[in-house]
Order: sequence, then structure tokens, then C-alpha cells
Amino acid sequence: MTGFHNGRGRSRVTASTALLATAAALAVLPGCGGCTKQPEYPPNLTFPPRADRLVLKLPDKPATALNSPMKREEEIAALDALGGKTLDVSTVPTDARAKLDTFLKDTFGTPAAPLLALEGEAATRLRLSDAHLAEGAKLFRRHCLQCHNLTGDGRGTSSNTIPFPRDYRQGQFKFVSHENGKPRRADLVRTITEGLKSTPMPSFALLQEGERDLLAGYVVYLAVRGQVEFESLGAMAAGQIDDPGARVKAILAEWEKTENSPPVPVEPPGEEHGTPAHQASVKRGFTLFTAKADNSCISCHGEFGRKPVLRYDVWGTVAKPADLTQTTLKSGTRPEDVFARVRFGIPAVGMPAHPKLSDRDVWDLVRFVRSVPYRVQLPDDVRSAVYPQP
Amino acid sequence: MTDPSRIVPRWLHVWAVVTLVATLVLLGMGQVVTSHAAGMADPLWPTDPLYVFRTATPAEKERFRSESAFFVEHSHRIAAFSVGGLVILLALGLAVTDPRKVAGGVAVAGLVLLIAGFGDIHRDLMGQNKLIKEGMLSKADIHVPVRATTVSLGGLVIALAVAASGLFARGGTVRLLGTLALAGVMLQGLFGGVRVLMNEVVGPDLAMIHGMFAQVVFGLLAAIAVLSARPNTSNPDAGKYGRVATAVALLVFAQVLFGALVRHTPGPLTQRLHLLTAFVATVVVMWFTHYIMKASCVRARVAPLVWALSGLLVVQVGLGVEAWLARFGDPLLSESARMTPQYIATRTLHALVGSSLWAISLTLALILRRSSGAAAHTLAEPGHDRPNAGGTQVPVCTPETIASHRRGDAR
Repeated sequence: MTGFHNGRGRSRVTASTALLATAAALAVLPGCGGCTKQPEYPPNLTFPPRADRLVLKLPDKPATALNSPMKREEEIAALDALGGKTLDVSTVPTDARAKLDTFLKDTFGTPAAPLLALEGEAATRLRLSDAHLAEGAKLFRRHCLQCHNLTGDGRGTSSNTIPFPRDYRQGQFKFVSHENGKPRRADLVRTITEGLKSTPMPSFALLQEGERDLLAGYVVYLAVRGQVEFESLGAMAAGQIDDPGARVKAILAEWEKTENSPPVPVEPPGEEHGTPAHQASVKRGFTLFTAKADNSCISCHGEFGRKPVLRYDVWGTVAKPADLTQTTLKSGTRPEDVFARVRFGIPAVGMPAHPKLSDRDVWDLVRFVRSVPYRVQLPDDVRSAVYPQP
Repeated sequence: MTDPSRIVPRWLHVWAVVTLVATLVLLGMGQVVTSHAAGMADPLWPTDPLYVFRTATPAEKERFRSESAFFVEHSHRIAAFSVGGLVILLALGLAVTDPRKVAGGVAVAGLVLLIAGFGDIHRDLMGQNKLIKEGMLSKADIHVPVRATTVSLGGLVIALAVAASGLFARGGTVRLLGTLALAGVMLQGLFGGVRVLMNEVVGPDLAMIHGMFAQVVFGLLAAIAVLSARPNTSNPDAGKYGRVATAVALLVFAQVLFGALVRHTPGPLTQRLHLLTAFVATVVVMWFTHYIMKASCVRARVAPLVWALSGLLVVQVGLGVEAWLARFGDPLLSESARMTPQYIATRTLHALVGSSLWAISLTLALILRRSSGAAAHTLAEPGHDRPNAGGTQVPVCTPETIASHRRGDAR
């Protein structure tokens, strides 16, 4: 019998195994702990300074093609040759840039400890307290960072393959319910809850309502921070005097104004589907839609969206007006959703607001737009105009 | 069945190999989805197999053509459906080989119930999705279709019971593995789908489980491919090599699982587990190569596989270094690592080679263990055998038997 098989051999194996297991445990032990907690940001991590180009002016002409996600930065840089204007932030004087970065860090904190140092009361009214932001930051890292990235610049890991996660840093959003182009918190919560149809923005309906609200608050925080940085860099590059403190106050005031404005009205009753009143409303909406005027609906939604005119948006990428003959609209097809788009426009992509239209006119347009995908809901003359091919 | 040494018809073994290769392709596509961060490129699940060519809206069809993440994710779904079909036929084909005719019929009936029930679950969930799209149902109100689930679970229980009861009959193991593989593939599909459906609650966790469970299913299919082959010449000396090979396969499997962990939850613990196990696995595989190549009785049979294992290991170490730097080299956060084609290719290849190492090490273990105990299930020719304690004849390790190993003959 060999030494391996006798008692001494067995105890050697046992001792070796025990030693090996202990060594393995010691090697792995430093990594233990915190497995079940939400991931927290490293305490020394700071928001990186903005390095990509600022888009200051868009080309007047329509765009010729949609962007490729992998070539976003090159296509933005090419806007200058097309009549637009962009700014390379490396041209901003270094000392001014350093001063701005210090201000941003002191005022807005870090990902691990976000705050709004200057405006305690406004921050409280907008539910942007330190505690709200800290929880929102953790949720943001888990659910949103992959696409929207650390500063909300829309250049997360996934952004190379999907066009285009929202860049919050100009403080502009597409689906708003106020003429100043800012969304209400409820608008952000709805986008988070429902997602955006036919886009990679998923629904987060299964999160707790409070979690979605915290996420919306953190998005507002990133938008405020980003807009301060954007406007300050633009002012510095233009040689203007920059007062970022005043800028923070002004931006927060815009958000508060939006938050306190009247909500989108509810559709008035009496003109339900299939009734003569509804059909008449759809006809009036068709007339408004196809009216020959500057910035009329049909001028961008050519052939009711089947031949859209591509436009540059404020982020320097290309937006395609919606094909209204399809049943899906990104921001939803409820009457109040479409009302908000028509009344307040989508300023970020150049869709104008219509403040002078009466509520009745806007509801006519809403009923027309909501009926376009369904031929049977259209009056005969409207149907033959929208769908000339049988 | 014309060859009495085979436990299943040759065509079924070929089908098993084709399914295995198709599953490796599917695994690769799944790894591209993860590397691309495309798991949620389409938040809609379930969809029908050819959704992007048939029932998708024009906007979604356009996304399939123009967005790489959408294309990659839906291609993965189409490939998964295809592999599901292959495994269905494999499981049914294996069940039919049961020498107990009545039991085989009951097993097939159980499998048909399982498949029909699963299809019903899919259809019901698609119907609920349609209501969500139309705004008539909230995502929070999605429910599991109870009747369809009961039918499929009932079918699974019947099929498993029949397969388990025939474990000691000829080909019993491979039939049981066939049923388990079908159940595994279906469960894997559910993991992937629920990952999308409940992304905000369990998405990242289920993505990790989906990645890890894929290796289990892949292993099941590799085992079926090996065990459905014609048995090789028995060799009692292969027993100890089989045990060592099993330990190596388990170590490689653990490393692959740690790799899935670090890919999806790159925390300090998972990083340490994967790195440290890489060192151990490298040393063990190198030693194992030397160990096997010294053994003349078994070397002839498994040499190509052993060399493939070592060669791929060298490649894997290099890929591992590059993948690590690509993922963790960014000074900010690992989630913010810049996605370039090289980044996607490196991480995908590293994961795919890992799966291949797992399949090869498992195949080695099964071949060696099978070699040590194959005598009872094959016809052995006299003159090349020596008696063992049980009275059956087993071949000795002679130059002739070594040559026959090389030819892959069964005696």
C-alpha cells in the first residue's frame, strides 16, 4: 500500500485541502460584503468635465440622412460645414475652465454625494434635497447609466448601438407640457413609467412610484447641472462675463415655472368616436393640418408623415417627424399627449408650439391626428386625401 | 438500428451534434447581445419567431435594419427559436428509442403536452402584450396563464418520470438527458424573456442567470452528443483518468460561471473569484494535459481533445487579459467603458472560448468515464479481452487496442 493510501497520506491530503480552502477564502474575502446592496458610487469619483462639442447653432437646411450611432461625434463636428456652429470646448481658456469645474463641484457635488448647494429653498420646492438626490443617484446607476451615462450626456455604453439616449445637458427635452420647453416632473415620471414606444427606452412600470419619482428628480438635477455647464462654456468661449451662480437661479426658476403652470386640459366631452360631431372635428383638423402656411404641419410631416422632412435637433443629431399613418407615436397617443405636442410643440427638434390656436382648434388637430392611422374613422373626403391609393 | 453497439440510431447522434453546434452559435450570439449591451434593445417580449419580418410595425422593421443592437437582439431570439426546434426533435427522437414501447409512448405524450403547454404560455403572453400596446392592460397586471402552465408542467413530470424509471435500461441516461435538455431550453427561454419583461425589477439578475444557465444547457447537449455516439473500447485503466477529467471539467465549469458573474455583476468579489480561479484552472489544465499524454492507454483516444483544450486555454488567457483591460481599464466606472468593435469582439470571443473549453473538458470526462465502464452495453470480441471481477470480458491495453482506439472502432 502506498503512502497515499495509508492514514498518513490521508491526513496529508486533508491538511492540504484545508490549507488550500483557507488560502482561497482569504484571497476572496476582501471582495465580500455589499453583495445585496444597491451599487454606490466610489466616494472620490467626480463628474468628468464636458469634453464633447457644444452645438450652438443648427444648419438652416434640412438634414439629408439619419445619423449613425457610431459616428455621432464626427457628424456633429461636420455641422460647421453645413452652416451650423459648434464649439470645441478645449478652446475655452484653461483657468476659466478650472474655475467653472470647481464651481460645479462645489454647487452640485459628486455622483456619490449629489447636492444643490446654492438654492436650498428652490431645491426643496422641486424635491431635489440631498437625500432625494442620493437615492436617485443609486437608482440612476442601476437603471439608467448604461444609456444616459454618468453626467446624463446620453453617451453611455449602449449609445454606440442605439440612437440616441437623451442628452440632458442643455436642459431640453422632447416631450414637454410648457412653452419654455421644460417638462413637468409628471412628464418625466410618465416617460419613465411608460417608456417611449418603438424606441429602446423601456418602461419602468414595475418600479415603485416613489423610485420613479426619485429617478425623475435626479434627471432634473443632471439637466440643471448640465445646462449650467453648457451655457457657461458658451459664454466663456464668446468672451462674455460668466456668472454661473445667477445661471443656477435662473434655470431653477424655469423649472419651477413649468411645475406651477396649469396642467394639460382634459379632452372635452361630446365628440366621441363615430359621432357626426367627431367627424366634423376630424375634418376641421385636416384643414388646419394641411393649411398652406409657414411651419404648417404638412410642411414637415409630408404626406402625413410618410415623406418626412428630416430636421436637426438641438443636440446636433437628426430627427424624423413622426409618420402619423402609423398607430404608434413615441410619446403616446392619448388625447392629452397629442394635445401637449400640438400646443407646446417639440422645441428641441424644431416642431413649433401653437400658442395662438384656440383650444378647440388644437382638439380638432388632436382628433385628426389620432384618427389618421384608422381609415374607417376618417370622413370619406379626408380618407381619399390621406390615402389616395385604395 | 443496424449497428447493435449503438444505443441510439446514428441519425439521432448526428442530430445531437448538429444541435450542439447550433447551440454554440446561439451562445455566441447571446454573448454578442451582452457585449453590445443590447439586452433591452427591444422592450417587447414575447414576440413571434419571425416578428421582425411579419407583425412588427414599419418603425420596428426599420430599427431591425438600421440599429445594430435591435438587430443583434432579435437575431438572438430567432436563433433561440431555431435551437428550441432542434432540441424538441432531439428529445422526441430519444424518447422513441426507449426499448419499453409503452413507456416510450407515454414519454412522447408527456413531451407533446410540455411543448403544447409552453406554446400556449407564449401565445397568451403575446396576447397580453398586444393589450398593453393598445393601452388596455397595464404592465403591472401581466399574469401567468395558469392552465397552460399546468399542462406543460404535467407533461414534464410525466416525461421525466418515464425517463427516470428507465435509467438503467439501455440508453436510459441519454433519454433522461434529452428530456432535461428540452426542459432546460424552455426554462432558458423564460429566463431571457422575463429578464426583458421585468427588467426594472430583476433584469440584471436574470440576465446573469440566463447567461449562467446557458452553460448548463450547453453541457447537457454536449453530454447527449457524447453519450449518443457509438461506445468506445472499454478500458478499466480509464477509470481514474475519468475521475480526474471530471474534476477538471467541474473546475472549468466553475470558472465559466464566475466569468458570467463578473460580466453581469462586476463587483470586487466576482472579480476576485474569476481572476483567482483563472490561475488555478490554467495550472490544472496544463498539468492535466501532461497527465493524460503520459498515459498510453487513453492518450490515443483523447489526444486531439486534450490538445484542443490546452490550445484554447492559451488563447483564452490572452483574450482574458484584453477583455479585462477593455472592461476595467476605464478610469471612471466599468459600466461607462467605451464600446468599440474591438471591445465587443474581445469580450464575446473570451466568453465563447470559455464555453468551448467547458464543452471540451466535459466531453473528455464523459469519454474517459464511458471507456471505463462500457463493457456491459456493447458486444466484445473474444481474444482481445481479459476477465474482470464481474466475469465480463474487457480488453487489455495492447498496441492493437491502442491502434483500435485511434481508429475509433468498437469491439
